[in-house]
Amino acid sequence: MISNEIRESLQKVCKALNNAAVDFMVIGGTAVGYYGYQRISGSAQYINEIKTDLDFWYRPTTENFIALTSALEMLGVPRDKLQSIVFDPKKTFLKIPHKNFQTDFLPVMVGLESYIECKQNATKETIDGNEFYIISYRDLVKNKQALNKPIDKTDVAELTRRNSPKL
Amino acid sequence: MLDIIVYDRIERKNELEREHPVRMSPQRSLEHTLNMMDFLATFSNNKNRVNDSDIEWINLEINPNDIK
Repeated sequence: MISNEIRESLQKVCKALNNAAVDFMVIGGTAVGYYGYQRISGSAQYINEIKTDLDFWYRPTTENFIALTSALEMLGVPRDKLQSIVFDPKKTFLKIPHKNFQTDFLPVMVGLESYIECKQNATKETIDGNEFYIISYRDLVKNKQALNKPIDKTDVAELTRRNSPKL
Repeated sequence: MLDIIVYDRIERKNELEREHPVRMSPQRSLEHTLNMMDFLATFSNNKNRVNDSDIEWINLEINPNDIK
């Protein structure tokens, strides 16, 4: 059941990525929420750090980037724009701006060295019929600790609290 | 005004949740998160964009009507 724009976008993007055989995983606020902390609710504290977006980490290889561009074309990105991109496995951060949010594709994650290792740790999930992997709790926390902005510190504290065996 | 009232109500509800967190299944928590994100996205109307100054983003403008 599709109930909102964000969820609909998640569905469309995952469908396109899967159809193009892109190696990717879901990260960011969506993953934070998956592990129990709907941090969007604490947004008033971090008004300058708010990001309403869907974040995806793609495997930073040339082959996978080509697959990603196919998926992005399915999503409506003009082919000439995609063909003009020179892929750099450490610098090719892509953003699709929407009216109220954005969809981001990252080739690297701060504090995490190996995409392959993180993918092995990731959790497989399905929503609205689309399969995808979500970054593991451990790697998510590691990334947050490396970023170390106030909102990341709160994320780590809240995630730790909510995933404590005492809860 | 209605948005502010709704937002305030949700914030109060979430303050309660923060103080007394309830463990949900990951699937349910994900669905709840997507609902919250959608609400905030609509509410903020993209006004609170973050400037990721250390990242050089490549913007891929699309016409929403072109999404297949």
